[in-house]
Amino acid sequence: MIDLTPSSWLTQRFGTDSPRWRLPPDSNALYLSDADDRMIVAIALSNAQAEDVRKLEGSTATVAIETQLEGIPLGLILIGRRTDHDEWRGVATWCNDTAAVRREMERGLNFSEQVISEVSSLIVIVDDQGNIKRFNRECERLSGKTEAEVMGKNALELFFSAEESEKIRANLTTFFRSMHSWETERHILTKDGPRLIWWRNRLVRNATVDQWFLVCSGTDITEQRRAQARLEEQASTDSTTGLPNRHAIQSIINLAVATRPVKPFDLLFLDLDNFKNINDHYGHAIGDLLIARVGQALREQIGPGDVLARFGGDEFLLLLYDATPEKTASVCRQIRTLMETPFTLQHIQVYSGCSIGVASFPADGESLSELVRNADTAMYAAKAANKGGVMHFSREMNNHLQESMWLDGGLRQALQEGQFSLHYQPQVCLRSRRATSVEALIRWQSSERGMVPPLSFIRYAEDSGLIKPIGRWVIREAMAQARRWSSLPQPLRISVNLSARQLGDPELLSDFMAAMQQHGFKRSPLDIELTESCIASDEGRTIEIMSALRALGVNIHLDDFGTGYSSLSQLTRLPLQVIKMDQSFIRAIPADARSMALLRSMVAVAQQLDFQIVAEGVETDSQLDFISEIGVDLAQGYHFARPMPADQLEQWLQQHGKP
Amino acid sequence: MTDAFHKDCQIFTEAGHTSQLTAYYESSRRIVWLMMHTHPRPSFNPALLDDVEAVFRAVRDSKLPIDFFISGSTVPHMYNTGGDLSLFSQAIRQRQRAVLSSYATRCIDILCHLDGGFGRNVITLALVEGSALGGGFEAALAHHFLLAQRDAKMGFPEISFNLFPGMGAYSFVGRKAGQRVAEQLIASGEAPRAPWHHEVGLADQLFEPGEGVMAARTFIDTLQPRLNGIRAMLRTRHRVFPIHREELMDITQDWVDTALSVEDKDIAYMERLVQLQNKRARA
Repeated sequence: MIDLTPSSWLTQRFGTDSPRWRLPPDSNALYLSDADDRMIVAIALSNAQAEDVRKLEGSTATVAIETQLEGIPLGLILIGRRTDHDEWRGVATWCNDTAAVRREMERGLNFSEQVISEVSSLIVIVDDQGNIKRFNRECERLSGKTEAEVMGKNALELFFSAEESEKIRANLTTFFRSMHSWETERHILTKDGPRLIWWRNRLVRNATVDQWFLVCSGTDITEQRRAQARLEEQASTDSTTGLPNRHAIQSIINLAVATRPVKPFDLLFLDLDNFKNINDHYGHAIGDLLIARVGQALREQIGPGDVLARFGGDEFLLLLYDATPEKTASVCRQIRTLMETPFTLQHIQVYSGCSIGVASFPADGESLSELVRNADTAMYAAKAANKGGVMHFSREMNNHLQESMWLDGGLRQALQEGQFSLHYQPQVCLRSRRATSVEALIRWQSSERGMVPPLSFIRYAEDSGLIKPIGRWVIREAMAQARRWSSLPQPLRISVNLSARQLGDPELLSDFMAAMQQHGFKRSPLDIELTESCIASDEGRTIEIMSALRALGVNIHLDDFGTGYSSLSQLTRLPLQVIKMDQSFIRAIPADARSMALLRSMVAVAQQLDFQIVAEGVETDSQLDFISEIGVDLAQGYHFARPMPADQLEQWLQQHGKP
Repeated sequence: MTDAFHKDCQIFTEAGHTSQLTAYYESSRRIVWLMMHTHPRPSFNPALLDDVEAVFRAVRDSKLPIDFFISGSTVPHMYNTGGDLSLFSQAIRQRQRAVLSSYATRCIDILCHLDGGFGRNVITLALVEGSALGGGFEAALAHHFLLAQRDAKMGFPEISFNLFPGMGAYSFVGRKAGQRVAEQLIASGEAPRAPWHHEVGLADQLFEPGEGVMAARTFIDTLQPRLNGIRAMLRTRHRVFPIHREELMDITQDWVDTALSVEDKDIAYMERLVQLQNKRARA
């Protein structure tokens, strides 16, 4: 026995040279025991030694003590810490005199303890009841509680609401049984209110005390989540109207189409009719204000379950759940009534009607993109048919759409590849029976479809704005033709048609003048044909442009007179020279006496007002006789000639040059 | 003192109402604590004897598991000053042999209970945090183990009034430390500090001031794992160094005779000591 080394003595007593140790709070007796707590020895520590051991707070650390057991001097290193409020526990290991070894050991342990303490994650270690065994510095900072304060207390009671703690308690039991690691997000109560923590939880066995503990390492994701939420809100809300934005309504529609069983709904595509003009005229500030006010007004019209969103620009989407034709019709009526009343924006009264296209789920499309596209198509159809109207989507509209798409590509290609040409229809002076002027009419020889009639593409060119480049081409081409014809014994004036859109083109005048200059004209050989609708939209500006053209030597023709609402007296305010009677009056000859009477008196008045008068669509002798009789100046129609290419016209002139 | 107690210390209610002491039961360690707060003087007055007897009866009869008994005092710097000098001087002046005899018998019975472990194998500890003089020291010596605060004074001052400590002093000190030490203490009347007693074998363990309760628990905790062996050792102690009640009673009868034969100057000194103790108690 005397020769026993401390190591072999410990092994003899405890079956290991690293017995467990335990120090109670109210006595300085250090218990040493074997792994099963069967072999227990108690050593009385001095006060100073016991104090050193009690300094082992939350962190695992070491204390070296010199004592003796049964007469054998024993240097022990106690590794451990306070396990809960009332006790210190750990593993004892003997040390020989090699102080360096002891220092190394302490340093290693202290280092790992320091890492746990100082790491920027939250680290809490709890037992299967949720009692706190470790609580690192980051936890102290966040919670406002010290490790010493919370040691041994129940984490669930300290940091969670009653409701959460109930859930967690159940989880704890499950996880300690299943031994799985898991991750979770939980709100914990701190001195600054609840914080959202992302916890990674792992069960770890502490061999020192032969017990499983839950090591929870957490990251405070409160701010991250708040930022995310802010971003999501910003990302899903339109800042002008406060309505859900395009992104948000798309998500909502995606959800609605994915709902099973299928629940029908109607998607309304709303587009303001007048927004572009308002924006151009009053500026974007008023434009935005209008959008905001419209959004607000629309929101008041819809039911609590329905969704209104700003889709972009002046477009709104309205999702009507449980839609019936009656409900949708009623909502559309309300919206139209609403949009008929003016909005007062900073003392400016603005009218902006809207056109509505309706697509029904699932009949008119089963996906987000299909529904939106079809509602959009229906809206365009509504706008085209009648501004302020409502249209329900139909498959035919898609054909129309496809046609538009073909036209768009085709017209651009036509401009680039020179597929357009001008045909000319002579206008014959009824007194001299000689052609004095021609009307230039555009023809399109498509590489795909052959000759495309103007009626099939002019409308689209107008709507798409392609009419501007096409119009410029017409002017330049007619100008070039006029130059070629300028050597004819009797020069011909060429009239070209100008749409409202072209008339509004600020570059019209400069383009016109450039074309004149290019072909060496000081006075314009071209005349312009306008329709009544051109004049109606903005009379002041139209007069301005007409006068400028007039100054260049252009005669202005009013086309299709009699179909609109302008009266002859109104026309006196305009710098017009020629009035072209609409074909419908000519066609009425000789059957419709009333139309003929009307034509007669119109011509009489026009003569009085000093307008030259042209009759279009003259096809028969009787028509020619009548218009000659009532004093029409010029006639144009198949009776004389169809529109034809320039070279053919030249031949025609040679044959019909003289009456 | 209560603050220092463990949370599972409760009042030992079996002892009934006591005025000179408070008894506690510490369930985790199975300890009965008898903490004296004797007044007006911290001596073995008849009221304290009543209380101690009540606690002892309760310990003997209690159904609670009791492994240890600890006596101590909550009077600062004082375990016990011993015999009731006021009672002694009066009885001597009035030649009341029966009073002295009865008092002495009660004290002997108390010592026998402590020495005998209340007949139920209880290990007894004296926790001496202050002076233990005369009968107070005798009582402390009657416990199986004596734990003493380093600055505590222990001795037998009876010789100063020409008497001797007749309630177990010679018997206990003689057996623990030998004849020479017993007679040195009794004859000189000196009260050395505790390290001396530890040296000669009268104190089993020393502790620093203020660490008494902790020391007592530590002592007990270190005994716990070897309780079986320790109890056998104590039984052997009794067999090898038996202290019989007859021996103590015989010496006590001599003490009564000796008391009745002290001179007037000695009684006067006793009375002066009482006044001094009273003065101290008031201060």
